[in-house]
Order: sequence, then structure tokens, then C-alpha cells
Amino acid sequence: MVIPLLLGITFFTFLILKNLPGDAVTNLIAERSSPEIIEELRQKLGTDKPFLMQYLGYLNLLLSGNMGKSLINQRDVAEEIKKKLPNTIKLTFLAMAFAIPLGITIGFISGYSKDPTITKILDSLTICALSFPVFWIGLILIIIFSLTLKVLPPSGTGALQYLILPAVTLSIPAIGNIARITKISISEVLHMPYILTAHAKGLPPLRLKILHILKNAIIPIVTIIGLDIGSYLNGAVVTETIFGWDGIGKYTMEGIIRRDYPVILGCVLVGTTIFVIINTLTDICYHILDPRIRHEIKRG
Amino acid sequence: MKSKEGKISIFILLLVVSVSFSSSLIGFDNYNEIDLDIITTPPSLQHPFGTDMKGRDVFLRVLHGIRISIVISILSVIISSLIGFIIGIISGYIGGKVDLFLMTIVDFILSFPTLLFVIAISILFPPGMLSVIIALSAIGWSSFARITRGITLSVKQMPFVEASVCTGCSHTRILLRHIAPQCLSTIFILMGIKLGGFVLAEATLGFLGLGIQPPEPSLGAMVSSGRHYLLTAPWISVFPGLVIFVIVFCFNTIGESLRKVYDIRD
Repeated sequence: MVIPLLLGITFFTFLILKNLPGDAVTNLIAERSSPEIIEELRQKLGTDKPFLMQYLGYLNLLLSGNMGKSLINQRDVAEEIKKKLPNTIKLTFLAMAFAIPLGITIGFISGYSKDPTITKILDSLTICALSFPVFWIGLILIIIFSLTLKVLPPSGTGALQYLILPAVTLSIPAIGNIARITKISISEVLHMPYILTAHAKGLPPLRLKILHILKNAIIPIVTIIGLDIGSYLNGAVVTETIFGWDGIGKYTMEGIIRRDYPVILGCVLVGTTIFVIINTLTDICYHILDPRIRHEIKRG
Repeated sequence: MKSKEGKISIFILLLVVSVSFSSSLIGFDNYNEIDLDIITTPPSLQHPFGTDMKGRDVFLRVLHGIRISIVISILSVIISSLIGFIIGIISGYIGGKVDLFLMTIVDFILSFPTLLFVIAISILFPPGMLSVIIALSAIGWSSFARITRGITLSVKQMPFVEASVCTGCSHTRILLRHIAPQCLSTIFILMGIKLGGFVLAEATLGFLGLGIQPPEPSLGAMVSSGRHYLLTAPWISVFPGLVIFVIVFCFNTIGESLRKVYDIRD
């Protein structure tokens, strides 16, 4: 499933990029070059070959672990991605380290609590988190923590203090997402007859909350966490751009703005691969968390 | 609308939208007027949101930005729902391989990071209102298709559809006269739920420079333009962002109450 998906993605990306106005040859040479020179360069670069041959050539290049070079600064795309990916991973994991406990707690309390005011306040907080424009929150945090209080650097890549503001920014929509799904999932589980039974036989509340409610409500929560991690690893485009954090998102955005096709292709390819890996990991989590899914698959 | 928050949100939204649309009618439309004598003046009675680095009134620009943002979001939501409705109803009615194929695409779009997709599509067209609408609709149809398909699948098995097959109705007639009306109410509700996300996406594209092009104001682009003046003139960025937040918050609150009342999952 993974390999045809990747082939499909590279094919379509390649197709779209090739059909965009402008091509590499006319970008590389002067305006009034003779047709012979243009033809020669075309042959040298291989752009005169039919589309399918070009695509196979690109695949061949990929198989040898090469993604081509940036059209703008001639840097090796694979090398650049290798350098930037760890930064994005750091940012994603720190953001999720804020978001997962906070989101689940807010969602749990809001779903479990019988006090309508608490539920209402937490629900509004959740909607708030989902409604903030990420770029604006980033700027507000910069104004407060970097320009006014001067405790954290406004932008750049480096040690932990550079990481805190982007991670907090990134975690806000994730908190909203996780809290919302947790709440829906919890309030569904609460109606189940086995919860009533558990209450009736006098289980201690903490045990009831964790073993009976959270455990049964966990699958949708894991799904949304998986989706968020997958999409953040693909590049938190806006956050990385604002804070000048040198990761995949910023790299993709630069590639897109400068129409640097090898860069865009490389980022899309790496992003899809990561995305597929995270999805597979999420599936594995289901199996660990819910034995019923394991049984269903065994039975075929 | 049962909930109090929903009512308040509708009231605020109506207020914001009517002020922004009526301001152009009563002549407050000089949002592009450059006045270099009053660059980056702080908020005052005359300029409630201050002025920007070219001396333009931020408040008037925000009002115009709201108009553009609302128009783009509503158009995109309408186009998305139309495409999604057609694809969903076909997918659910025909079933089999067509259904599998269409729903695989829908699942893929729904699970992949939306923003990257929207950015990728928006660069295929020259930046402007049209490219934003195309980009938003190209992604937005998927959830409409998913929900329409679900309803079609369940309605398809109802006795009245069987009866119409028996009386010899054509497929088109069954689709249009019997199944489509059953989907409409849910689609309208889903449109309400999705609007907030569209406003936010439009603002993000604007912020990245892929939306409405300057000098025309767009809320996202205004936040971006103030980025280098955060220390000296924070109001250039802060107010447009706050307005985006208020609009999206109201839409999302309404959406959430709709979801609760009609029990819709997307």
C-alpha cells in the first residue's frame, strides 16, 4: 500500500510541476540565445525526452538516494532535508508534549464534569484554541515574551529557549483538537451500560476514570494525535516561518515561493513518507490499545 | 438555535458583517488612501485601530478585509458543498468500485495536512481572490462528499426509494427528487460548521502572501505587514488578527451548537 501511494504522489506532483508555466531551460539562459543553444541545453538536461522518460529518470535518481539539486542555490535537496528534519521533529515533539496532557485533561474534565459552568468554560476555551489564527498567536507571544519581557528570543534556530515560543504556538490548535475529540469520546463512553455497572459495584473513582472511561475512549484521541503529529512533521509552515525555525515547513514554503521544483518534490516525498509511517504507527497503537481490533483482523 | 452562546455569536457576527458592509455604502471607503504625515500613529478617536506604515487607517482596512474574507469564505463554502454534494451522492448511489475510489480520495484529503494542500493548489494560479477560492474549494469538498455519501447510503435502502424504482423512475429522478432533498438540511448545517475554518484558511493564505494581493487589504496580509513594526506599532498586526479571531470564534461557536443540536459528525 505504501509503495503505490508514494509512486502515485511523485507521479502527480511531477505532472503538475511539469505543466506549470516556465521551464528550467528558459530560466537558465539569456533571453536571446539561439535556438541551437536552447536545443543543446535541452538535450543535456534531458527535458527534450518524453514526459514518462523524464519521470523514470527522476525515480532512478530517487532510488540512489538522491533528490536532485535546488534550482536556486544548487544545494543537494536530500542533504538539506536531512539537516532540517531533526529541527522539525524537535519542534513537533515539544509541541505535542504540551498539547497531549493539556488537551486530554481539558477534554476529560469537560466531558466528565456534571457542572454546566465548568463544561461551558472549558468548551469555550477549546473553541478559542481552535479559532486563534496561528500566525497571530505567534506574533502576540513574540510581543509579550521577546519584545516586552525580553525573556525569550523572537526567532532563530538553536537551543531550547528558541524552541519554546514556536512549540507553544504550535501546541495551541493541537490542544483544541485533542480536547474536543476527548470530550466527545468521553461523553459517549459515559452512557455505556458498563460504566453504570462499574459505578454500581463501587469502583474507586480514579480507577473508574482511567481504566474504564479513558481506556475505552482512547481510540479517537489517538487518531487525532497521530494526525496532528503527522501534519506537524510535514512542516508547520506558518509557525516555522514566523519564528525563523529552520525546519521542513520553512524549507517547503521557500521552495514553493521560489518555484524551486526539486525542493518541492523532495519535501512532498519526504512528507508523504513520514505521514504514511505515522499512520502505520497509529494503527499499531490501536492494536495495542484495543484487543478487539486485533481479533477482528485475525479473523480476517 | 437553543444555546445562549450561539445566539450571542450570531448577534456579534451580524453586527461585524453589517458594519463592514455598510461602511462602504456610507462613504467610508478610502481604505487605500496613503497619508505620509500620519504614519504609524497609535489608536485614537479619529483612527480607532491606529494607522499603518503608509499612514492608511487600519480600521477602514480591517472593515474592507472583513468584506473580502466573508465573501471568499461564503463562495468557497458554496462551491465546496456543491462539488461535495454531487460526488457524495454519486458515490453513495452507484456504490462498488466507484464508491471505493472516490472515498479513498476523500479519506486521503481529509487525513493529509490541509494547509500544505491549499498552499500547493493556490500557487498553481496567479494569486488573487480566484486562486484562494479554488484552493479552498479543492480541499473543502471532501467533508461534504463524505457526509452526503453517508446519508445517500442510508436513504437508498428506504422503502420509498424501492417503491420509486418499482414504479419505473429513472436514476436521475430518484437521485434528484427522492435522495437529494434528504441530504439538503445536513449540508446546510455542515456549511455553517465549516465557515470558521474557511475564514481561518483564507487569513493564513493572506498571511503567507498567497491570497489577495496588496494594496487591496486582506486580514491575514495586514497581520503579516505589521510584523516588522511589532515594537513600534503593534496595532498594525494586533487588531486585524483580533478581528480574525473574533469572526472565527463566532463561526465556530455557532458551528459547535449546530453540531450539538443536529448531532453531526464530520
